[in-house]
Amino acid sequence: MNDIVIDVRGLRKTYKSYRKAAGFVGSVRSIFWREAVMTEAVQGMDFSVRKGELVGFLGPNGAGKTTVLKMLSGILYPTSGEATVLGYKPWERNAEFQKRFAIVMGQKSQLWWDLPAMESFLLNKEIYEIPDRTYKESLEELTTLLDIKGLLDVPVRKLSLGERMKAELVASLLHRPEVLFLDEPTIGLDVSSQLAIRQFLLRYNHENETTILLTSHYMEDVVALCKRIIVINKGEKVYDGSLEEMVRETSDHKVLTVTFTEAVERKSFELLGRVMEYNPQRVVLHVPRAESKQVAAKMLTEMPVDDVLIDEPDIEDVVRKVFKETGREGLRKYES
Amino acid sequence: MRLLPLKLGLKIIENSWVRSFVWRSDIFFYRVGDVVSPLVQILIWNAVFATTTAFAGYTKETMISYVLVSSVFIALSRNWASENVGREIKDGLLNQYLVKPVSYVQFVMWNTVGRTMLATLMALVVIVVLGFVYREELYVPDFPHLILSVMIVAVAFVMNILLSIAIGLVAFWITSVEGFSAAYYNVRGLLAGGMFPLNILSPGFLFAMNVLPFSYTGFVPTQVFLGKMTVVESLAALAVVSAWTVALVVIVGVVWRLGIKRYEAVGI
Amino acid sequence: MKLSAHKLRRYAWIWRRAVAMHFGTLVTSRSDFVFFFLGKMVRMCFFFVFFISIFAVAPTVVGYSKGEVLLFFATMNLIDVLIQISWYRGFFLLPRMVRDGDFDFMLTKPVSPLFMIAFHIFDFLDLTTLPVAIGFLWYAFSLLPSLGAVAWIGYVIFLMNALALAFALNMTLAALTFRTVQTGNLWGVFRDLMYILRFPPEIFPRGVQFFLTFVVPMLVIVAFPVKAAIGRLPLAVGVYGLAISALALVLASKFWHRGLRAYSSASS
Repeated sequence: MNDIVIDVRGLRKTYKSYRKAAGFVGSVRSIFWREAVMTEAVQGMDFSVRKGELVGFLGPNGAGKTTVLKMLSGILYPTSGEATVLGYKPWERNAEFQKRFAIVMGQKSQLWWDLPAMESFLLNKEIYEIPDRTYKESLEELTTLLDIKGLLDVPVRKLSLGERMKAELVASLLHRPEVLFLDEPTIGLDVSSQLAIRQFLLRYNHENETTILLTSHYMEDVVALCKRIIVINKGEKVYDGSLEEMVRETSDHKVLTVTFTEAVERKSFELLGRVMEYNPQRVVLHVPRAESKQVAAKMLTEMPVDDVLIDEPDIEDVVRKVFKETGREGLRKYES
Repeated sequence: MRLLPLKLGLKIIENSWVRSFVWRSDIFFYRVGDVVSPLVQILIWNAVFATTTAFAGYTKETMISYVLVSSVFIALSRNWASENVGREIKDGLLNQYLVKPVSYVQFVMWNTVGRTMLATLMALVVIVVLGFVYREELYVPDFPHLILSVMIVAVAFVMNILLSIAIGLVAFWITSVEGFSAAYYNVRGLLAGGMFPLNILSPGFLFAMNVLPFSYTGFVPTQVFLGKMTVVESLAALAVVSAWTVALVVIVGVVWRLGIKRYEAVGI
Repeated sequence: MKLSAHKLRRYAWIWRRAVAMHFGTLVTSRSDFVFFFLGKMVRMCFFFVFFISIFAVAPTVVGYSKGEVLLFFATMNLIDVLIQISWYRGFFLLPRMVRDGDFDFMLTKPVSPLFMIAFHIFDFLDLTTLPVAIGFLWYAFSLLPSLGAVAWIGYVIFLMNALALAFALNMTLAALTFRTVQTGNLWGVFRDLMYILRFPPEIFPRGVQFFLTFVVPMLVIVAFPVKAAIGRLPLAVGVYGLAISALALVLASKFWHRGLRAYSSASS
């Protein structure tokens, strides 16, 4: 059990915000009295992460993912509960701890806007006390992997969003942290940048055994990167396990996509499964798992089939279903 | 040129008030500055007049009156439109106005009126209290002078907004507005007679000051109020500040047209 | 926070790097330097006119000679410039950093957030006014009879004391950001109070002087170095001045750390 890097028990975060009525009268009233609203951003969460794992936090907006990351990086104090990262309590902000982790936030940058990224790297070198040789090696390795060597002398504000995120990653990894937190790293990026960053993270995690915790609401990020996902909804953990298992547990069906060489009548399919899409030469059926192979076999023998595809349900649909079902009165169906 | 409908104008004003109230402390704390500045000036003049009885044609009483009255007048015309306009141009926020069916300049005018009104109301309360404290020394003008001074201030109010907008529009041409804006605010307050009555200066300087528009927000109407200018001279002053206002309407229009052509939409 | 030679050297490195970086960002806006500088120069000229015309009619003001009054202004000016150059901008912009979410990064790095906030912005614009401030100070001293060694030492000691106290006050204001939504105008209050300090404290009624020395010790900032230089500072009061700065630093530090705790507990 001693390669557990992140350990979270009963973590809870509640905070207060204020309501204000619209218009001028409401504003005047708000000077004297405001209605306080207590929000439970995170409700009693438990999980642990082993060294080298790449875990994805999945959840709708406002689910509490970013709040969890902020607590694990020491930015916020929990209302109650415990968490340790690398054996430290993050919110004690021990300098030794801070030198061993890094956080990247998708929509905010630690790079200085008007200056070339290189300047920010050098500043980080001082802040993290990175020895010259380690710095040179890390810089070389990271800028090669991310392919931004030529961009280091360009002011950050002139870089595209994708290039900026890559520079951000370099800045965060120069000190070779053992733990990396990523909050929506691919948000707003074009498809090729997203792909490049995913590939980079996979490779980096594989080569350095860095423990990575990633939040995203892009399914592609999660599918590509994370063997293990934790689904959070309304501040609660509703699933912790592998993606495939979640798909299997939540969906009782498989998707059969069949194309034909001749037209086939719709009513031929009605007994086989649920028809989702139909045109005379192509049908998409939802078939119960246990029967999928039989149905496929039957169709192959009895119908003029051109091509058959048996697939898992679309992950987005699965996830959406999980969100919907667990949002309702804490219906927790998916315990790991 | 289509004029902004009144209803929209009033909504813009209400909007600016709501925004001011969001930042609650804004309303209370800033007023300390409005008390401190005239109060300190009064104290200094008290100290100066302890060893001398007259200074540049003022007695202690008239000088204190000068401070109080000029503070009121300057506060009435005060606005920060130039820095807002400058920033909106620099940051490309101008774009959102350009796509809407309103004139940006008119929008800014209404918005500035709203913001200024609120700040001024607060400042007035404070200064009225000060005026009560120093009521012995307060000079009371005769009716014609009072009216004329108020009229000058009213016109100067509009003029000052236009002037600020014109300065803000310079952002179309210069790369950074910060230094320019800061210099403008500095100069504006001084030339309005905020530090001392401008007739301390040599006649040459004084003439120059009276040609420029800045002194009409503070110094000139105060002189009228204190009866240091005859009715005829006051009417002449009113004419000058009105002329400046008209000129600025034209200037703003020209600068805007030239500037917008040059404008590159930089925004995100 | 434990101090060691190694830590000091490291922080010095970081500071140098931050300053160099900031210089890089400013070279882009040369017009800013020029306008800002010009604005300040205009203000100084007006002040000189004011000053000279007062002393043309009054031999002393509240018992201070021309040179002594000028020393008050020059000292205040120097302290103001030094504050602006060092930590003022950093603290002043803290609310914006918090609002934009950039502050969070400061909390995750192995450097004291206080240090980064205070010193990561080096105000080059104000650096241009430093030579003028020093020149001004030199001129003020030239109007006075020459000072003995004790007076000089006193002046320098209380000057540094003033900076320490100002730092503590600014740190406290910045720490308020963690609890209230907007503190923009509290800074305005600070600036206004600093404005008052330009003048010899004797212009205020005794009650106010007492308040500004012992309750909100702003007078310790300017009045003490000047009075020490001209030999009007009783020893006991001087010792108090040093003690209050030390106390202020301790309290400010506690307040800052409490503020950080509140931020981390109350936000999301």
